[in-house]
This record gives sequence, structure tokens and C-alpha cells, in this order.
Amino acid sequence: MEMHEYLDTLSEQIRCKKARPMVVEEIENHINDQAEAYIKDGMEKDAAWDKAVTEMGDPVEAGVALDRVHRPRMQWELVILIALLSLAGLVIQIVIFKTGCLSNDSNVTTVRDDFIVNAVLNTLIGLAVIAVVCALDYSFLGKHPVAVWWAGCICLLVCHFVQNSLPYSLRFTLGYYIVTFMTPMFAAVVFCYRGKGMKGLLKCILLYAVAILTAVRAFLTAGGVVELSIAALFILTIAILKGWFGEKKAGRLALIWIPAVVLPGILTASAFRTEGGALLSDYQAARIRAIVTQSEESYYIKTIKEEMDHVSLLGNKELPLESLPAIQNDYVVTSMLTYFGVIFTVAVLAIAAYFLWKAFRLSFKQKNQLGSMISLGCVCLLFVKSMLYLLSNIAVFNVFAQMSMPFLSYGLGNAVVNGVLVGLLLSVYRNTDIVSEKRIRSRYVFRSPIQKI
Amino acid sequence: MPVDKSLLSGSTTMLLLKLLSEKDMYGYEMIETLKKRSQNVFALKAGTLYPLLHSLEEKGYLTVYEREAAGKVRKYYSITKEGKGFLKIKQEEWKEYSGAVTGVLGGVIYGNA
Repeated sequence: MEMHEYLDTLSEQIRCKKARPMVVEEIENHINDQAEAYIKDGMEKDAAWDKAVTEMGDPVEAGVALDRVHRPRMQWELVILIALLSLAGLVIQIVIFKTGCLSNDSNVTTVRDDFIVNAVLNTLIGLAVIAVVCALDYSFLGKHPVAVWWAGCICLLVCHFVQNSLPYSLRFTLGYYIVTFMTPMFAAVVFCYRGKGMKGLLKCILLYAVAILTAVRAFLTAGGVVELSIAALFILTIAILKGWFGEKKAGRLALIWIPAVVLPGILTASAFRTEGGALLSDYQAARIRAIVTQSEESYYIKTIKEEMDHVSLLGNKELPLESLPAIQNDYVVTSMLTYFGVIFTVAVLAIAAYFLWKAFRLSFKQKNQLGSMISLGCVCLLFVKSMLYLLSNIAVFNVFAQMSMPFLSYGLGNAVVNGVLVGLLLSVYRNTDIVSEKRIRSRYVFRSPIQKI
Repeated sequence: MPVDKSLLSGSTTMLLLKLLSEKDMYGYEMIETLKKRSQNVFALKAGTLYPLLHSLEEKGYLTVYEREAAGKVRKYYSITKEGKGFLKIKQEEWKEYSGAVTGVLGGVIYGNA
């Protein structure tokens, strides 16, 4: 049998076509090595190749065994958790719409049966987005990450200029959605600059800064800026710890963590100066003051605290309809607590926490470095979103308006954005053992001795 | 801890992990080293080796990286912490098993497995 025949037969046994090239390359190298060794021992060229191929054994048997390892693997446990969380979200939304919510055109609370259809549709669309993104090969994100990053920044600028002509439902949220997608993109950017040392790290920081300044100057999304910043800090920290930007890890960490602590400090300090200073507009300064002192939002904090006083284990079958706005979007967890009680809410939050923990572990163990970074970024973003939402919903810290709880909040935008993030996670996990890549591990060059035992 | 039913594949796994616990190697190097150290007793076929290596990688016992050596880019395998733990368990199992076999055959245990 000729080598290419052997390789073709072996590769045909592997059903997942994406996995074939990396497997075949390794086996081909092996046959080459073996044949060269025979030639070195004095064998004729043709005979050496024949023997090398025969030595390999049965290509079908090997191919079938390799097929068992290299196939798409769905993380069914995560899928079940996703279904449970979506269901919990749908239940609380239906309860809210059945009981009543504030309509857009008046301050009167009305029962909105028509919204129930929307809620079901949104949930289904969210699940469909997850399925579609999961079926995609996420590795395209690693092809032109920097170009896509600039495109994202331009989208933010465009979004700022056309803001007032956007439909009402998108006016305040489109910028936020774009910034949300920039977290997985940032993971891809960092991946693309790995192994480039200090210069690579500085380029990542520069690209991050461009996006953040665009978003901040365009007054688009305070929540999005904070979420992206925390996720970016997390991604860079992991990348530095992995040695992607060189061996001097402490210095590199200081380079990102010192500004991450000092800059918000400077902004806060300047917000408390009487004129706000050149750094911030009056509105932004007032916003920061309100967040730090929790004064402006104290009405909501107070209201939620009152609601919390009446919360029981099994729920009171009541909703904070009169006191809180847009509970189907902004106060789903509060509503769950008052209506279904502590036990139900804690159970739902425990499922969400388990989902994030499981996803984090899978991301961390992921062998494909691009996939690992993208999924870590998505998990971090989902965690930050959920935590900020949760804290505001139990009256600990009310910071940003226009927030959504992944899976639980009402809204098509939330369903789609969440769907993309979760779909990306599943796509990364599904393609484990399939997507190949060249890894850079310079430390091994010095560590392992070349000579044979 | 259930003992691996398939003695052969179980012990091959152990032998490979043992080799990799000494240094990182690529596939061909493993077969050659195994052959030399076992005085040609363990002539492992490549068709058995790679599926085994890939499944050990999938289980997290090994990691893979590429490195250039003598003008060729090779896929090197490196044992992980989990892999070392698994090797230890396998070695214990092997000691128990070979001790039992020797006991039945009525011989003496020579050295350590």
C-alpha cells in the first residue's frame, strides 16, 4: 500500500472533516520518520516506504479509533441548564404580564396578554440564536480580529451619530449590544497578539482604549463600558499568566492593573470637583457621584429594601408593580423573590451559578487557545452582567439603567445578545478535539533535553 | 478503583505515560524508545499509538505543542498533573496485578514493576 492510500483510507474513517488535516499531518510525519530510519539502515527507498506503511497497521482500525476521539461533542449538561434557565425566565415573564405591567403610553398598570406571545417568541429566538452560533465554527473570529475590532469601533461611532433616528427600542441599547460583542472580539485580538511580547500587550491595550474612549465620548453605554473593561482586564490577566506576552509576568500585570485601579480613581476624584473638569461632562460627573454615594438611586434602593422586608420563603404571589419601573426587564429577580419566594429564586440562581461555574471550568481546560480565551471572555461577561443585575435587584448596589439578566429578562435584544454569547461558548466546547492550531510554548525549547535516552 | 479490563491497552497507557513523565516526546520517538527499553518486546504499532495518545489528550492527561527540531515541525506530547496522578494509580494497579500473578505462579517478585 502506498502512503497516500494509507492516509486516505485512514482519513475517510474520521467523519468530522475539520479534524482530518491535523490528524493526517501527524501520521504522515510518522511514516516519513520511519521510512527515513529504514533508509538510514541501508534499505532501498521503495522498500523502506513500503515497510514504513506496513508497520503502521490497519488504516481502517486506526481511523475508526481516531474518529471516536475527534468528533463534535455537545455539552448536553449545559444545554439542559440553558433550557431550565430559559424556562424560569419565561415563567416569571408570563407571571408579570398576567398580573400587569406599566404600558409604554401611560402610567397605568395593565394586564398584557399580548406580551406573553412576545415573551415566548423571544425565548425561542434566543434558543435559535444559540443553536445557530453553536453550529458555526468559531475559529473564523481568530482570522481578522483587529480589522473586526476597528469595524466595531466605527459601528459605535455611526451608532452615536444615527442614535436619534433609530427606533425607540434600539436608541439606548444598540451601542450596548455592539460593546457586548466586543468582549469575544477582544479575546480574539489578544490571541492574535500572543507571543509578541510587550509590544503585543501594548497594542491590545491601545485597541481596548480606542473602543472604550469611542463608547464613552459617544455617551453610549456606561454599563457596557464597565462590563467590557472588567472582561478585558480578566482576559489580559489570564493571557499574561499564560505567558502569552513574555516571561516577565509581574511587570506586565502591573502595567494593566495599576491603570485599572488608578484611572477609575482619577475619574471619581474629578467627578467630585465642582466643575467636573475636562475629563467628564456634567452628566457623566453626576452619574459617577451618584454611583459612589448611591444618592440619586436611593429611591429604588429604598423601594427594593421595603420589598425585601416582606419576602418569604415560598413567596407572596405579589409583584412590585406600582413601585418599580419595567420589572420585566430591570427587576426580574426582585419580582421572582416577591412572587415565588426565596426557595424558588435561590434555586434558579443556583442553576445560573452552576452554569457559569461549569462553563468556566470547561473554558479553562479548553485545549484550543483561541477557543479558551473566547469562552473565558464570554463567561466573564455573563458573570459580570449577572452580578451587577443581581446586586441592583437585591438593593445592594444600584448602578446602571438598561440592564438585562441573561436568560431571565424580557426583551428580544437581550435574547439575541445572550444567545450569541452562550452559542459561542457551546461552539467552543463542541469543537474541542477538532479545531487545530499551532501552539507556541517556547519554554519547552529550553526544558526538554534533545538527546535520546 | 476498578482494574482496567483490557490488560494490554491499560498497560500500554501506563508505559506511554511513564515515558512522557521523563521527558516530552513525539509519537515516533515514543515507539522507538519503548522498543529499545523493552529490548524489542513492546513493538507498538503507530495505528494503536496515535488513537491512544489523542484520547489521553482528550482526557486531559497529556497536552500537545509543536516544536521545530532538525528542520521539522513535530507534535510533542507532555504529561499533565492529572496524567501523573493517573500514572501513579496505574502503577499501583500493575504492582498488585503482577504480584498476584507471581503469587499464583509460585515465583518470587523480582524488583518493582
